[in-house]
Amino acid sequence: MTALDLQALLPLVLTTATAIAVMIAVTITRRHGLAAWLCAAGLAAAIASIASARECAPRHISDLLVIDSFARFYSGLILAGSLVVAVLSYGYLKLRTDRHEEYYILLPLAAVGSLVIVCSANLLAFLLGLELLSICLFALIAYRRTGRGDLEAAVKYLILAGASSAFAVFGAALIYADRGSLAFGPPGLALSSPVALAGIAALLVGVGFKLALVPFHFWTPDVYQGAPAPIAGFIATVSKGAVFALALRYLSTENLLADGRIIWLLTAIAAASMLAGNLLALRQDNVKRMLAYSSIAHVGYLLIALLASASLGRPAAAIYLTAYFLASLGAFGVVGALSQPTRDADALADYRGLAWRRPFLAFTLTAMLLSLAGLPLTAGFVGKLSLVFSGVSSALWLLLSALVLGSVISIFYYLRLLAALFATPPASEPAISSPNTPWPTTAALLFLTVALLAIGLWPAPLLDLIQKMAVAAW
Amino acid sequence: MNAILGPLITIVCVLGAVLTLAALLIWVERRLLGLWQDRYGPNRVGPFGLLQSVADMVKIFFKEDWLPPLADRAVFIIAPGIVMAVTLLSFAVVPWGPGLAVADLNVGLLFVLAMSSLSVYSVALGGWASNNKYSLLGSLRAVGQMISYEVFMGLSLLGVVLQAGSFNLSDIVEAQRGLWFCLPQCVGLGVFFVAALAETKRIPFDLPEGENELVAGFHTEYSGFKFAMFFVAEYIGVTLVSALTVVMFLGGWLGPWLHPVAWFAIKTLAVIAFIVLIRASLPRPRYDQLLALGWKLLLPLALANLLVTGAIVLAQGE
Amino acid sequence: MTDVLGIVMFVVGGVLFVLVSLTVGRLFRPRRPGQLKGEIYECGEPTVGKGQVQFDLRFYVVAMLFVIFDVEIALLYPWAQVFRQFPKAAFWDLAFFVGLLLVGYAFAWRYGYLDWTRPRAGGQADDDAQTPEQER
Repeated sequence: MTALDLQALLPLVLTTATAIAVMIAVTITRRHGLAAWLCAAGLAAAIASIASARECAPRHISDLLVIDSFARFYSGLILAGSLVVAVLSYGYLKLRTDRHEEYYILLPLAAVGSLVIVCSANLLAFLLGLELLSICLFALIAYRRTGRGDLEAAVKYLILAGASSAFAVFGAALIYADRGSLAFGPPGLALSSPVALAGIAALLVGVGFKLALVPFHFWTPDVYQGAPAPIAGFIATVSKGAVFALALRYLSTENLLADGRIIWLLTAIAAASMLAGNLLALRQDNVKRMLAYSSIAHVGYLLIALLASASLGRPAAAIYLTAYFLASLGAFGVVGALSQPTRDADALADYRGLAWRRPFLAFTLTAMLLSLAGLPLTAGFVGKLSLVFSGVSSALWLLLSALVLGSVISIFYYLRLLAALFATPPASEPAISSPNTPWPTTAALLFLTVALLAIGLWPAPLLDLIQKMAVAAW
Repeated sequence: MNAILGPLITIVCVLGAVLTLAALLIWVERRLLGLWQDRYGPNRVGPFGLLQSVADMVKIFFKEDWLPPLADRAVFIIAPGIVMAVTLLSFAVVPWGPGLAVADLNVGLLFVLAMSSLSVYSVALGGWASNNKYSLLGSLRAVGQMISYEVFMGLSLLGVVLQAGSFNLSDIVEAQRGLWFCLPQCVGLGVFFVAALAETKRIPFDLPEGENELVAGFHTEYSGFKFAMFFVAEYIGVTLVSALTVVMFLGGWLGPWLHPVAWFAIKTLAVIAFIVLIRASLPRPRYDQLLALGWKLLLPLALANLLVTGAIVLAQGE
Repeated sequence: MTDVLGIVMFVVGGVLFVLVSLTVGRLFRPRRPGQLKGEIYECGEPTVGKGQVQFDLRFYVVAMLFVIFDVEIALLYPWAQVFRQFPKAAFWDLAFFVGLLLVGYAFAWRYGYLDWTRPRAGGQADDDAQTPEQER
């Protein structure tokens, strides 16, 4: 382990140190503000360290991890997402449970798990990161410990994540049995051998669960509904983004797309995810469940980038994920900001006439929903456009038609919520008397909205960055 | 002498010696307790009551072996067998003299620790299978106590491993040729001894079978020979931890003039007598005190001992 | 190799001894089942409820602590073995590792996870603290 290795690992080290620092602080004194600020400052320092480590890439660290520009881009995305979640959580937790502080230990640890996934060059590292992420999420989902819904969500997630991890571990074992190594690449996983094929399939179950792709998506609505709103945002973005980045890396290092069966399998999963996610979201009156179903569809869209040619697919994935991070975190942030101490604002009725009561939140949510729907002037539009380009260039017509169909369906339910926002307020008292928004939440939402619109209006800087970082060969 | 017969003789000798010793220990303990508590103890059967254990064994052998109808039969029968088997097995690696061990494993210490931790299963399964509240509570307490003190036992022995640089019990004994580890590792010895007492579930750590609240703890429903197994296994356990204390801290078979095996036996018997003396003199703590003693005193002590030992070994090397 | 053979034979011998002593007595023992003998023993009182009652969750905390620290010991044993080969690196690794562990240990101590009877954690209300001292 040289100094350069350490410098490359700095984001992971700093994030881990953040968790430890918060733990020490909590041991000394229980102060919500202190824990939250330590957590936010540590995550910000980790983001800064990514920028500082520009020169020393790509580096292999002990067979397990690789820090290249691809890993650094997604590390930045993950850390930024975690930072936003931490800030949003501050306002959210302040009104709720009487034990806030452990939350800020678990959150950076979950981020470390995601970072390990993104940087892994070995199935072992991937599994370690996956476990770290999952174990922290079990506790975070049930963090409020108030309603039955929280515990139900956590237990559901626990059991299904356990089962899917078992599949992933088994898949890794089979792959090891076939090639005698857990490292990614060099390409040439002999897919003719049934053992390796079974291994890949089992691995796909593990990954598909975390991404909530269609045959493995059943946990999503319940967990999103039961989890605290910021954590639902975390699951929707950071956890999925990390696993997606890994899938991208794994598929291309192993050159798995050379195999027609895998292409067909992924195509079927992607098309099913897009259609099922959107159709199921159509009939939801619960906003959190609706966002859950729409997230299934979004990961389905993302698979287009996975299947497209690398030169266009990888930047498209990066752009789309960035836009999706912004919009999802923003939407869940608004849900969290509107929520009462006793329950989250997840009924459609809670949003009726919001524009007249809380114009800022309503405007933010509008921007987020438009971006999720992929309408122009928002980051979501840029993302979807690049997805379509990458799909067209690789002639993925089936998936593109599913994308178009899904997007059309999705506009219905996003508009339904938008219509509720701007409807005349009911004569009676509003269904939910939401608390005042604390300033960190406002700041975070403002940042998300500005970034969303900025990317939508002037995407060039982001595209440059992505061309430089997310595309570099490994 | 071929490869099979040699070990076979050793095995028979070791098994015989351990079982005889354990049976004899019952008598020794009761006589010693009598001595220290100013009363007679068993003195009727044979000279000085020496045949008391034999009489006990004969009686227990002809007792009805009652299986409670509500118990989980298979588990109920297996449980006492586990503790008996694993405690006996631990003796496989204990060196009685130079080169005198059934197996001189290079991971001997790990083997002993692994075997002694397996005996938790016996207690947990026995208590659960009995289908009795006293048994269940007793076994839960026993499991909580045993797994806690297993941690401190393992940690306390790390200092010895560090100094000897080996897991092999014979090597550890040889490493004490200049100076027994009981001096440089006195903290380790203290922690190990307390943890070992707790592992054997004897007074003062006999909360799992605290008779004035739990009847007999996890073996309330046991009778006849299966009860005897739990009972004898406890005494084998006492012999085991005494032998381990001798091997790890008191120089094993090392000593002047006498035969090494004699030294080993003398030291082991002395430690056993000390354990009996503790039983004769100490009261039982509460369960919260028991856990607090372990987690709040022994654990930091053992960790500090490990760090200091590491620092000293590091300083010596330079 | 002989060591492994010795162990295997010892295992077989030990297990055989247990099995034989459990079964041979069957030839000599009386067997007289009875109505009263079959009841759960509760000091002569009529039994109440099931024998296998739901027990206190605090045992679970002890088990968690055990898992955490036992894994740590599993890591430390190989470390102790190779200590003499690289004493300096090994010592500082240990110091770092134990230091990290102590943070968690201090946390657990501060908030009463090491106590059998929990104080109110951090001066705040804690449901668990209201359970009576003995097992339910």
